[in-house]
Amino acid sequence: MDDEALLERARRGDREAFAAIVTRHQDELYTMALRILGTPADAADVVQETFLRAYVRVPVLRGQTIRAWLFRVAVNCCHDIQRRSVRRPADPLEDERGNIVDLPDPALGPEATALSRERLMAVRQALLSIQPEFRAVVVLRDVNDLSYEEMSAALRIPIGTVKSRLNRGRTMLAKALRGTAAAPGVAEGNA
Amino acid sequence: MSPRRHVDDLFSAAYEDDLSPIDEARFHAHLQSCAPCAAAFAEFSASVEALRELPRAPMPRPVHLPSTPPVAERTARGRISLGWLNAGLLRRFPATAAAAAIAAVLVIIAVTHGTSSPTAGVATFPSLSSPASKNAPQPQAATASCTQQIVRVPVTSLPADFSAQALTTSPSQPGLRLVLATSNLEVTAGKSVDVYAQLVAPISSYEAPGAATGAGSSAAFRPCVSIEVGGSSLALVPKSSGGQAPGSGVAENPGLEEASPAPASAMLSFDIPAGLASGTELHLIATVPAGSAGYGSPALTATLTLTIR
Repeated sequence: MDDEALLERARRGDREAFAAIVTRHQDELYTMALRILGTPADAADVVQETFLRAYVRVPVLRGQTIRAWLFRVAVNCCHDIQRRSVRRPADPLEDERGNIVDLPDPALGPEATALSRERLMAVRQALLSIQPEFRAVVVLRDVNDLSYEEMSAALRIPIGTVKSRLNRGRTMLAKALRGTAAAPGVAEGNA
Repeated sequence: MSPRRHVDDLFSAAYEDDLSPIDEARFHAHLQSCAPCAAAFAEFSASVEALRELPRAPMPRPVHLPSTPPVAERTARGRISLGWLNAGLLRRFPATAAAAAIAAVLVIIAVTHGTSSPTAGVATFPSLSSPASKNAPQPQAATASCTQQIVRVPVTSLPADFSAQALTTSPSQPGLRLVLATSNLEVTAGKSVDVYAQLVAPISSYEAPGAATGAGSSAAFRPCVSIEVGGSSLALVPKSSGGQAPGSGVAENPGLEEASPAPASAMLSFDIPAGLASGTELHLIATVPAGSAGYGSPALTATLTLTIR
């Protein structure tokens, strides 16, 4: 059942239909928020807040655009958190319960797993070093695979601005990754 | 001028294979003659690939949703009918639409002045019956079913005999507590029921949005409270809620009003219509739209289900 059909049921008071929308989108929203904020607890809060806002907006949401709408709300929630003065340090791989949220493939073996873990951390740290407005664009495109149109709707900026920010953000990422475990030479030399 | 500057603005489009034919020819020709640019593009592409390899992270905890349905049925119907009025009737039958609009305004005026309802406090379309709805800007996430303004009230203790309670908190702002309570979940048709409804927010988050929440005093607000009669479109509004008159708005909190001179408290009273069958469920709902307790505060809902004896 697509989002519009679920929304139609939700508009008639079907709570489970809305829960199905949550199930469908919660992981991608959480992943986006985690990559933008770097802290699992904040990212989970963003997802919770996003769906609460969606819940009371069910009458005016449309299935064709709900994904972009959810991303837009989630990005705004991320910006709200980023504006707060007190920031918790990013815990590289664990969520608030101590679970590892980015698991390297265990089939790679101990050395490769350690390298993979190091690469993960390098990429995540490099991403967090990018200015927020560029980081959001890079994450939406390269983590969540949103189209230019979806990104434009989610961020409320023209597609041309999306493209220029994406180019700048990716360039910043490449510079931030130089000399790290995720730099091209390191990755290829140890693959 | 470094040769790299000639094409680095095309890296992203080149990676996406989104270059125009002219740019594509220029890009590849440049890379063949400019080793730094070729290396930079390889580095650029590898970085994007490394980012794309990051695994998807599963949401680590369940998303909590209000226990009430996503939207009251009457709200959806209202919006559908308005849409039909705007898009269809208004365009094709302007005179009829104008007459319908005038009739609707008369009905609203009659209902809001309480002269046409034989059962005070009962409205089938409470979103139209609220005096607040016509003069209060609504926060972004305000629900259409919220019919009363969120007013600041003195912090009121929960009455000792109000044992039926519902508490809703926010994971993002743990200091926020929405409490809804009454003395008994079984009520009698034809009699009134007293309800306690209060949102408590740390004073720092209310008066200094974004400030760190610390120990200190709290601000209390009375949420929007209504009772929906199960199996019907009836919704009951409180008969004595106080503080309904428009007051001076708070700039950073649209839709939020300080309490007026009229007494306002966390205590409300509802008249339960006579004639409701035994066993009928009444859904007591307290809601606060996002932004009611300071910038960025989440929407909260607390519910209790009452039953007619």
